[in-house]
Amino acid sequence: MSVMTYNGAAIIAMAGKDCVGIAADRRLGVQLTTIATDFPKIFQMQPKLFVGLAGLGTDVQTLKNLLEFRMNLYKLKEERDMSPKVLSHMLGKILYSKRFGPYFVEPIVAGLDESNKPFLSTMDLIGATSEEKDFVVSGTCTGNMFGMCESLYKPNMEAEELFETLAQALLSSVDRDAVSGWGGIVHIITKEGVLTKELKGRQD
Amino acid sequence: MSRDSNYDHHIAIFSPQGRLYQMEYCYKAAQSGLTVVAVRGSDSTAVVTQKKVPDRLMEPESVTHLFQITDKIGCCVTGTSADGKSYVKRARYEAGKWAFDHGYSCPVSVLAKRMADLAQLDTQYAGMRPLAVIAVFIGVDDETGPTIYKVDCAGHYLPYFATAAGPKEQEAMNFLEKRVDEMKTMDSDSVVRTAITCLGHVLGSDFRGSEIEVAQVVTKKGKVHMLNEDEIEAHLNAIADDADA
Repeated sequence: MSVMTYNGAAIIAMAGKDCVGIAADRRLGVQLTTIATDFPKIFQMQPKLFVGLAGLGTDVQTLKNLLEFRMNLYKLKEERDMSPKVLSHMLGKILYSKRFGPYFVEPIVAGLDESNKPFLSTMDLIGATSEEKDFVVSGTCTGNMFGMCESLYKPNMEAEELFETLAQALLSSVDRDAVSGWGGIVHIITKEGVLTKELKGRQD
Repeated sequence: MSRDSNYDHHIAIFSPQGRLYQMEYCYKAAQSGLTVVAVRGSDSTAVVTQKKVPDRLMEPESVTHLFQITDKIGCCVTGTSADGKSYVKRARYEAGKWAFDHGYSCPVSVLAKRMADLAQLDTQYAGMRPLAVIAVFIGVDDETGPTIYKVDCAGHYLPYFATAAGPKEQEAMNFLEKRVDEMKTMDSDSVVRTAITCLGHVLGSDFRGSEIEVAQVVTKKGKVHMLNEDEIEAHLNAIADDADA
């Protein structure tokens, strides 16, 4: 029994042409028992900035609240929005500050920066950050997700194609993982706004 | 052992007459800032203060004594501005942390109590001097409606129907006292105009939109709104029209 696979999660984020998409499964379980099929793992921190949190459910919720708190202070102090790069850096610092008693979460940051250029980053549970141009994955079936993304991804996809790619990659990955799945949610962020769609896959 | 009989003037310990000289001096420093007036209505609160840009070389937008503490709590600090900014920084942190710990936004009364408790500590511990600020917090509480709290440097905090702080505080309070019964049914525009009229009355001058700052919170769903120059001008014009009518 590993603490990172206790509740189950699958999150993928991909960059397209002037857009980013982030998708997650919806299951919350206690090992193999499914408790909820509407558990949020992706949070909209700002109009064009999303954070996906995969890992232990309690830490997902706590970290989301903590991030909101820190972001609000930043916005009051600096009188401007937080850019994805800064959020990613701050999240890394928060995680490292608990180096010897960590939050059991491996987050993904996805958004558009001030010039509407896509931003993607991921980190491990102690804050080792990695910024990517194509896609990032996190959760209990990363092997599956990496495989799907590597095969299905192509650069500069428009919003509709990005949605299809993201949705198919997620659904296929979670089907071979016992603790993730039970539906999916996809957000596509473009400079015009955010399009959110719910996925219905295998309900098992 | 210090034989200096003025020891009690140096730190916050009692004088033989039972006074805290440091607190009195702190009060004098806090009262030396700008005049602030806050008024509470039927479903909104507003706070008004002067905007004096000390130097033409300064950027006028950066000179302010009105601050947003959370989405729903606004604050005006008078006294030394450096202390004021430090105070606001702490208030923002305390309100944010409270919301994080409790899961809902910090009520005005709770924040006021917390800031007052922190101020009181400085009156007991010799190591820290008190912050020379008087803060007026405004908001519309989910449960109790429009709220104004005034917190002073000694840690006194009280809720008010309407209040004033800074020089001419007493004259402003006298003006407001006469209108306190009408305030209960005032709409948000009347609340702002009453506060502006009070300020004008005690300072003995008419204002232009760029010479005062106004913040208000309207209804329980409302967020802190800092009025821009045009909105302030609109209120000033309305006041002038009423006066002429």
